[in-house]
Amino acid sequence: MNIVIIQEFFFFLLIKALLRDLTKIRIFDLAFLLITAGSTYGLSTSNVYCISLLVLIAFIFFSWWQIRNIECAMSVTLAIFIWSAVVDHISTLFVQITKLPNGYFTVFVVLQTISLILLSVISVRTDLEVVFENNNLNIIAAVLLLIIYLYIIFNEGWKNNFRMIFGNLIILLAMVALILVLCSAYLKSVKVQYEIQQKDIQIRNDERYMNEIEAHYNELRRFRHEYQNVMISIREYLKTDDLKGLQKYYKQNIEPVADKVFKEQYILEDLSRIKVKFIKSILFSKLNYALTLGIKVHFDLKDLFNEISVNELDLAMVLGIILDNAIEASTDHNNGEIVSAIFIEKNSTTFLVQNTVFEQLPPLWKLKELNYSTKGENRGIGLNNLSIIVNRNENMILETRVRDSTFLQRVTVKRT
Amino acid sequence: MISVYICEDDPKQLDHLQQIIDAVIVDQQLNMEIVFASQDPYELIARTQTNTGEMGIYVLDIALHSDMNGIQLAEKIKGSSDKSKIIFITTHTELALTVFEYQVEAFDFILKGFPDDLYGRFSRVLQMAQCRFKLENQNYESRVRIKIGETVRSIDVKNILYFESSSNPHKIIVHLDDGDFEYYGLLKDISGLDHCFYRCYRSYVVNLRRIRSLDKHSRLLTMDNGDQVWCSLQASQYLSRKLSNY
Repeated sequence: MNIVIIQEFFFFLLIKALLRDLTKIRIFDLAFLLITAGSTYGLSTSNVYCISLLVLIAFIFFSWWQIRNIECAMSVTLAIFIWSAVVDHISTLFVQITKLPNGYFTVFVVLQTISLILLSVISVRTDLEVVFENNNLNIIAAVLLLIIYLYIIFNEGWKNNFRMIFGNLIILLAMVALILVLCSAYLKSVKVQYEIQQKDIQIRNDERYMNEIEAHYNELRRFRHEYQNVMISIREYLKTDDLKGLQKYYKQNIEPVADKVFKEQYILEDLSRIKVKFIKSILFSKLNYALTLGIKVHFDLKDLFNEISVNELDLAMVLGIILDNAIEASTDHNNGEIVSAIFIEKNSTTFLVQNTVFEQLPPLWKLKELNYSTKGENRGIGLNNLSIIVNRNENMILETRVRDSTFLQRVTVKRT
Repeated sequence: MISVYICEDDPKQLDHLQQIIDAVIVDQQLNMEIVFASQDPYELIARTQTNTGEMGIYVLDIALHSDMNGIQLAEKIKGSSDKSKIIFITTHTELALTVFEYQVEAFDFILKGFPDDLYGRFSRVLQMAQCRFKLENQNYESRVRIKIGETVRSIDVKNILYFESSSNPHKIIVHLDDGDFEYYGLLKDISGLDHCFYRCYRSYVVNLRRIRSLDKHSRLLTMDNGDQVWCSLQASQYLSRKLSNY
């Protein structure tokens, strides 16, 4: 019966490791552990099936207490139980072959400790989810795992001969392998789906970009046409030596156009020098959006921007957050302005975004606090997330300045 | 004596600039001299490389007929000489870029579009530059120079609140009154930059002059802007003695 309590102890630890909760021990955890162990001990004389089922229900309750989702709790608990069954079978086989006294105990504890360490390392190092996002999949997984587990306990009982255990072990291992293969295939398909989504967004942005270029080209043609007309008129005025008329003509027809040429905002020419698709796409979509909101937008890039030595997705996210903030700060103000630029330098590339600030900002450290936003609670992704993304990229450094009425952010990416 | 350098690709405009600046120097009796004027940025760089310590004013056109533009030229100059003031001259269309002002810490921009204003603009800007040089010479020690990427920032010590090591091992975050920025460096090198900097915790170096208060019980330092910084037991004892002096 001691063995059962040891097994329960490992169930407890493994479930906690799987839920990334190993470092925190609560009073609830200890109470749960004591009650389960105590009641197992007290019930040791009754039916073994009964005990197995009770333990299972107790642990499902324990996981449910942590994640508050019955399907997920079942999958997690059953996965651990089935794995423990595998370890149990291996240990039993080992004892039957070697005939060591206390062999089962040693092998079981060693194997479970190894799996515990592996599990906790994996769950700390990666951010893999233990359950599916889709709850239907969780239900199916829970039911399947339950069937497997029930098969194990009802088919075998506690005492068995060697061949039976060996056969079952093979089946169990095959199932574990199968589950792992299925999960990895599922993960892959989710990843592919995500990539397709990203590409889709990019294609849509590219399309808008092309439309914009076409519109500009048409405008240019019209301008050339007008220009020719203007030249003809000027020639006529000069031919007839009508300086007065020319002056009037200049005031009426040329000056306004010249003004307009200066004021017109051309961000496309410089954007065309960005050859990194992701970056072009995000800059175009955000800046263009700002233009449609009536914000004055400048973008400047004088050299070709060919490559970037940092995770493109992270950089796109960083620029997205910065530009979103700039746009948010400039909307609803008549003279909002966003000035942005990329500087290509010898060993680094610098991205700069600057916007006008209309309200008194609190000190920067307050802005960087978790979930802080000047626009009320839970608005968008703030500066805190920005720091997190920048920090995980060795090559990226961030500068934030608030000067008079401008808010400025500069991201420098070191070239390697 | 402050040296004035000019770089402008159009020979006629270069000539004109030289005349105006010469006139300003003479009329305002400034302690300056045009030492070099050129159409070629590379010549200018070669020339500046030899006089790194001198006070220099650089009047640069942004669009140069070269593979290097005025901005890049300014960065090269800033990198090699620490007492330089950059004045850009530019046409109307380039001026959308007050951004450059920040990127290279330009001293000023002068528009080419209004030739009649040039004399007035230059006389104001050059006078201001001379004043600034004078001020900086008086308290030159209280500035630190920090390299961010390719640009070198010269920062007044009294604007620095504290330095913090980032969760990424090679980066340091500098917290200023008007913002913060990161650079690549080591925290242990900072205490040597100025006697006001004190390492109060494994991951913090504070500016002693910018501490508002110390809570000895929770070992928290509150800085002038309200931000809070941890300090070690040893540091809190040292600081409680020291702070009465500041």
